[in-house]
Amino acid sequence: MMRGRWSLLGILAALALALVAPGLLEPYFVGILTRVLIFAIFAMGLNLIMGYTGLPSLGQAAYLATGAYTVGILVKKVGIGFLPASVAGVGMAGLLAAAFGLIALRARGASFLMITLALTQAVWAIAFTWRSLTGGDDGFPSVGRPDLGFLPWSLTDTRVFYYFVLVFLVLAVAVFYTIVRSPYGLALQGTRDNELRMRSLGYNTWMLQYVAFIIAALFAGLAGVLYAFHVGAIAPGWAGVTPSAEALLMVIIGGPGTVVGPLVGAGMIISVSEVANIFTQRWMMVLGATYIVVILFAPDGIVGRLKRLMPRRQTA
Amino acid sequence: MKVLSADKLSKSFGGLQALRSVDLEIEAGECRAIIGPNGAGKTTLFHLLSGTLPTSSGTILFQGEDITRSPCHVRAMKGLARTFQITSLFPSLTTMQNVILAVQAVHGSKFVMHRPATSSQQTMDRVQQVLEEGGLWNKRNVPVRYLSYGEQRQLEVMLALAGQPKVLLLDEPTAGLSEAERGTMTSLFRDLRGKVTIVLVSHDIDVAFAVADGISVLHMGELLTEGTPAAVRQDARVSQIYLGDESESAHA
Ligand SMILES: Nc1ncnc2c1ncn2[C@@H]1O[C@H](COP(=O)(O)OP(=O)(O)OP(=O)(O)O)[C@@H](O)[C@H]1O
Ligand SMILES: [Mg+2]
Repeated sequence: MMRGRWSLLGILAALALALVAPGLLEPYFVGILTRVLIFAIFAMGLNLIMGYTGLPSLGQAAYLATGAYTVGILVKKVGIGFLPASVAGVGMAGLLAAAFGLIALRARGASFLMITLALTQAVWAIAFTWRSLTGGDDGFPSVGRPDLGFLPWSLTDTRVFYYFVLVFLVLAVAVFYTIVRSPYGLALQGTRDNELRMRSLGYNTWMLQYVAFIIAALFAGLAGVLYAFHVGAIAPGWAGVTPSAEALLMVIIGGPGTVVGPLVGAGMIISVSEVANIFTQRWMMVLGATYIVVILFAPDGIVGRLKRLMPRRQTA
Repeated sequence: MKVLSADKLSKSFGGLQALRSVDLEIEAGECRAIIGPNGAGKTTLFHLLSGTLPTSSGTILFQGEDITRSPCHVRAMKGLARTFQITSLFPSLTTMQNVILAVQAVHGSKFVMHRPATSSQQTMDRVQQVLEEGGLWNKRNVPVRYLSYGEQRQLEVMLALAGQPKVLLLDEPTAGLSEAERGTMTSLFRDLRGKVTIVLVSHDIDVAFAVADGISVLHMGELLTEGTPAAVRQDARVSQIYLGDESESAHA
């Protein structure tokens, strides 16, 4: 059987599972699953710049928090509708990346990692200190969830909200898949492999990376908007190191440069930390151990490892 | 008509003067070889001409236009292509994806996101042509890190040719190749003569003399001499830097 057919089967099976899961699980677990879906979108954005373009960022939390705070502030403080507020949340994340990208993309490798981290800290500082707008340390309360209008379901229902997020995940995967297979997506992979040669072939690699940086932030912004609806309150910690580091782990463990890797990674990291949470306070240590095991036995991630096990597609 | 020229081109790396006031004039359609011993500055000259390194002083004209300060990718889009002495490919991508990257650059689809890279008939026709001419069609789905060294060198040149450049800068294309592979490559360059302007850097003087109309000799960052292959072959200074004083006296 060819790899293409295996992947299709796998995706259909995963989708079927995702569709029936809420019916089989307690609402508490449906909530955890919803978080997996949201973080899968978040990690997918990071994967575009990290796995496909070769820019590992520790600053994606800045855009997650921007999406979340923007939608919260616009809905609660300005009083505009959920739909325009959500669009604005995603857009603000993209705008912020358009500004931060000008600074961060002067660096590569470890310095890029540090600069993106530093920029995130700036967002965290704003969220923390501008109490009148964000609620500071107390958090931004009661964001609420949108009303689906003419549809007969309410998003306050845990299961309905899960399906709502699932729709966005499927859309995000479709967009992501289209991008990475496109001429632009191939150009990103070329830039990851060999930036100098790309320039010699006529590519403005800076611009390729800059656009990817913004697209990644749009994914993070969408995740932030959905996460604000999911949790119902926003904390400055959303712009902290933890969400960025989690996304990084999800991509590394799932498989950078693969479409489904970050989805698998999100599932792994969140379930491992949830389970570890029950038995021990030191779930961070358990995560660290998981990381080491995966790096030792599957250095290009779980999905990367599976791909190697599959027979290569033969073309006559 | 001059297509590419350098005027008093210099480059220093810290205290090291790698190129000193080099003048170069390349005629359209010409095949020029640049020879010189290790460290003469040949690769540095290519870096300056192609824009992969900034020039310290001097001017570069391409088709009459000053490109001294143009970024590398702008020069490439104007039709100035180059290869690298140390093979420079996209190792995790397949042979075909490597060639698609080279072709789609000139077909103007670099930022197209809504359709697969393989969906443009125009691009794929050219990709197939390049792969067949280069004898790598059978290897099109192999990631290039699994190609043999000879095949990688071949692809190195194919990527530069794929975009149908006006001027092709080739840096040691035959380095490390077997006798047979060198023969194939040399005949490829002969076929290209007249179709594209070629500037060829080569250690291998035999390849240079076999294909070039004119030869420029670089030595310690300076242009030592320039002329037809026959004239350069006769030049005592050239045999001296290549063969040393010993054979110089033996010839005398
Ligand atoms: N990036 C660099 N930094 C410092 N010195 C450099 C750099 N690149 C080249 N050089 C030095 O400049 C001089 C010319 O080097 P260049 O690579 O141009 O020589 P070359 O003629 O291509 O030699 P070869 O035949 O070995 O390829 C050498 O002394 C080299 O050590
Ligand atoms: Mg050299």
